[in-house]
This record gives sequence, C-alpha cells and structure tokens, in this order.
Amino acid sequence: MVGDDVEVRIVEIKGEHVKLGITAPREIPVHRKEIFEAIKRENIKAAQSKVKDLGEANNLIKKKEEQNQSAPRPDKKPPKGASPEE
Amino acid sequence: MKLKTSRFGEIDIENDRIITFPDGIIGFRELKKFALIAKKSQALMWLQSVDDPQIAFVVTDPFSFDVTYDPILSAEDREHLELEDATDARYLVIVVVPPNPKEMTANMLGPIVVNAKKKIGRQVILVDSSYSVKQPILSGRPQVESTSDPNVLVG
Repeated sequence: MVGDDVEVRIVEIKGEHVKLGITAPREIPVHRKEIFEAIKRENIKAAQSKVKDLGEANNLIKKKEEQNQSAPRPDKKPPKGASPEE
Repeated sequence: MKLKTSRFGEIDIENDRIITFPDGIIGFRELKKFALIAKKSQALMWLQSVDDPQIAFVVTDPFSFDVTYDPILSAEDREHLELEDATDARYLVIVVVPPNPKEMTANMLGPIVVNAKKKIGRQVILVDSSYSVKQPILSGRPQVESTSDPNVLVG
C-alpha cells in the first residue's frame, strides 16, 4: 500500500519481467511512464514542425467541419468547448 | 506587450492573451508563458512561447472536429488550474502538421486546458481515457480497446 488508498500488486512474474497492478482512487492520477513519454515525444515533434503556412491544413479542417455539420449528429450533445476567440 | 518570435517576427500581443503555465508544457517545463495567436475563422491557432521565440505549437479546439470528445479532469488538475467553475475551462489540443497536412494528428490524450478567467494553463493527461496521442484529425478516431476498469493500470 502507498498511503491509505493506493494499492500496488504484483500481477505476474515472468523471467526478468514483473507486471505490477496499481489501484488508486479516481482523484489520484496514475500515469504510465510510456504515456508520459509518448506525450512528450508528440510535443517535441509538434515544436519542431517546420510548417509555417497553415492555410492548406485550415482548409482541410474547414471541409471536415462542413461534412460533420451535414452528417447526422450523435445523440450526445457536444461538451461546450468554446474557442478562445470568444 | 511586444513579443519576439522566429515565425512571425516581432508581434504585438494583448496582455490578456498571455496564459501562464505554472508547470510548463510536458517536455518544455521551463516555458511558463504562452500567447495564443488566433486568426478569425481559422481552426488552427498558434500557442507561442513568450520565453523562447523558437517554440510555438499549433493548437486547435478539439470539439471542432470530434463532437464526441469528452475529456474528464482529475481533481488534481482542477486544483492546479484553480478551476472553481467547470465552464471556465477551455480545451486545446496540440496538432502535429506533417509535410502532407492530410496526415495531421492531434494529441487528444494530453489536451491543454486553460482557465479562461484566470489565464492559467496546464497540459493534462487524461486518466480515464482511450484517447490517442496522435489521433488523425481528418479521418476520425480509430477504435481503441479500453480496459474494463480504467483506474487499474497494468504496466
């Protein structure tokens, strides 16, 4: 146990590999290092992008939005994610 | 304020466009201040570092291309963002635009959340989620199997 409510279990031992299971309350974020590293990699890739002109990319998104609007919508109402423009 | 950037030269940015990221962006922890540079009616915006003229991320509103996107913030993240009212949260996702823009992807697993009232930003990692760090923007979400209890991570 880590504190009162985080439980670490050994799920499996196979040769040199140990599989751990972590159970934690919803408030405590448990992030696998791979996920953290994957996000870091994407951030670095994004920062290194040489693209200066977003014109074509913007047009492609616009087209996709128009398609979304004409397609039948799922029942679920989209969460309010207003653009920072507002 | 005047802002030096490698992409746009020197630009004038209103102070209320500056967002403070107390923990930086993942992988760029030392960069604490960013300016959101947006053009009217264009989906893609730039999140330009105030501290480093070279660093800028292309970002967009995730709901514009994925109406089913449903990020859930942890209590810890809400606390970091000083978010008292959930309606103050604005979501942006970082976009990677490759030489062929048709293949652009967005990081849906690690969105940037901004407290619009206090201008505090944070890149969060969604726990309870099957979202991808490189979701194709134009072709939609690939089906990813999710664990039955997303709070139990085995790794």
